[in-house]
Amino acid sequence: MDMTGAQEQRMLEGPGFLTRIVQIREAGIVVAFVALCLYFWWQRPDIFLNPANLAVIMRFIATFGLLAIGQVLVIITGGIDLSVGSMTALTGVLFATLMMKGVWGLPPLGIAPSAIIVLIVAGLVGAWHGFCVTKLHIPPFIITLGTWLMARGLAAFITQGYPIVFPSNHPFLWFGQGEIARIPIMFIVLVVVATVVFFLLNSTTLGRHIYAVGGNIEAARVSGIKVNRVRIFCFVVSSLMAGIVGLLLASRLGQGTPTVGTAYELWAIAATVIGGTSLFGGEGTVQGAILGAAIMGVMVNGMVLINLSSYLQDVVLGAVLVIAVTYDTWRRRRQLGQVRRK
Amino acid sequence: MTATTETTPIVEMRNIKKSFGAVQALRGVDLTLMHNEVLGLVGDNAAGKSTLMKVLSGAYIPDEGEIYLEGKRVHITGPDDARRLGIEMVYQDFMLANNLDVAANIFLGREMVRWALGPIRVMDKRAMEFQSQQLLRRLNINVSSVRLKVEHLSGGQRQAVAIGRATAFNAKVIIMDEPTAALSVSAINQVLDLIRELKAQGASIIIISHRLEDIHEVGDRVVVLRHGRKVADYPVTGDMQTFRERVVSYMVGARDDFSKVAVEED
Repeated sequence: MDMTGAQEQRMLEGPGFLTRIVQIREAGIVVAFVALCLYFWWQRPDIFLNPANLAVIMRFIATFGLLAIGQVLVIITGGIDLSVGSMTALTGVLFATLMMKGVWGLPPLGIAPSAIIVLIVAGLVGAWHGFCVTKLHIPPFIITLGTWLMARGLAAFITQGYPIVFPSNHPFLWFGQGEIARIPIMFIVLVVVATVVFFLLNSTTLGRHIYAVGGNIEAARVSGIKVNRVRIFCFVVSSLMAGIVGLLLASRLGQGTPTVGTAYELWAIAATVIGGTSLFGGEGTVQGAILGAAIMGVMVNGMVLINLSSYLQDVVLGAVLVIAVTYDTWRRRRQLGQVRRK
Repeated sequence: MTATTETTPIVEMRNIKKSFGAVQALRGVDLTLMHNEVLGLVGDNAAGKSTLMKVLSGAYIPDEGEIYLEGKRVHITGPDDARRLGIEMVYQDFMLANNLDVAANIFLGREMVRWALGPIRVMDKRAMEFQSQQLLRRLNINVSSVRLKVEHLSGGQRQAVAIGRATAFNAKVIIMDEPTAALSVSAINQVLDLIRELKAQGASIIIISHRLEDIHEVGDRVVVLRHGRKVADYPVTGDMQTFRERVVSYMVGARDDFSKVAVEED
């Protein structure tokens, strides 16, 4: 049976434009995000769109967006990284020590060498996670839970519990506190990193292999994909993100402190899940993770602006998480049913 | 095609032996596959048919024996080797990534690259989609769009995509492990049609199947293994009833065309 020209055309084009808009998993999240912004703007027209307030929101989005980007890669491949909150503390403290005190009798280093060393250490921690998961077959949950404890403990040990404070005029503070055209540097870092990872995930063979590993690891293996390398790569990126956030938070706070980033890994995971990532692996996007972080950022900020009890704020956030996942599950099942019926 | 390539078997496996600890899975099996032939490989559980095909596809390395491809001795030490030599395997459970679309699955692990900078290799998605579509059309595989995720396909469509993927890269030999085991009746017919189509287009195929109907329908020749030995090797002829009775008699050990070899072995 020969196909008509129109049929052939359709085969290449796939679903129609409108259908695709509805199918885009982020569409619902964008609508929710815009609705939230409009609501808080309506409630507090005096403050919400204030540049200073927007900067607060953007720094929040940057912090959790960056962590969520790393988390998304790990979760797509079927893993999880619980270490990132503690890793922000360890990397921040390590950076402050290298730059302010020096280690092993070495003199204090400059900003760039200290930052590079810290990021290398973070990358090595990620490689360690990947090694344990792929070669020693330790579940990602367990090995990163170990680091979750160890990194926090090490951070406290290095500083003996006290923060290492930077001088108030230190140039390093620009990264966390500076702005360009009223946009925080932290947010610009997020945009750059997100663009790179988005490109990687959507346009390169590595990105495709990341999804393939999450979708069917055996299929990926027999297709000749270096499955272990792909998984290790994702853990390295996640730890690197924690390192970057560690540096930015140290700069933002003006100190390296061992208590920073407590429970941030759970916030990052929540952001990815709100953004449509499946904890079963195989599904997840950079833009979704950032949108998830954005929704949380606007809500945390807005709830303070409208004077909601801080106890209730957590209740609302938890509810949002559950609603988001329920909606996404429902949407996917419906979509699956529609295609099957065709 | 010259006369020599048509008379030389495309695959010849000689005296293949493979043990797992004390268990002798293959006790010296010879197997040939001619050009453009569909060979049915049958046998009871643990007869060694999957092990033999895993040797050919590079998943196992044999303890003894030689493999010739178009008359040339080859050493297959891994799945990558086998694929490079043009030996493709279609797995029983499809081995597709359900979260990726049809085109992505067909090109999985051998994506077309537009440009590369070290480890950063940018895919040529358009070309892959176009070629996938061409492939599906050539094989008469009915999938509405190559951009459809595999999770949206029926079992028969998934198997068709899996088989299509195996044929996409000019495979010389296609091995199918129970290609109809997980399928409905109508899907089985789709897959059998596809195998006929592949044969018509010149492919050489080995099918492992428990369903003797499949071998009878599309097979040219049947090889029966029992306890790691070949016990029968003859053309598929006659009606289903007599075919089944004869194959089963070999499978259960009532008949054995190669028993002399077995005596020598023991």
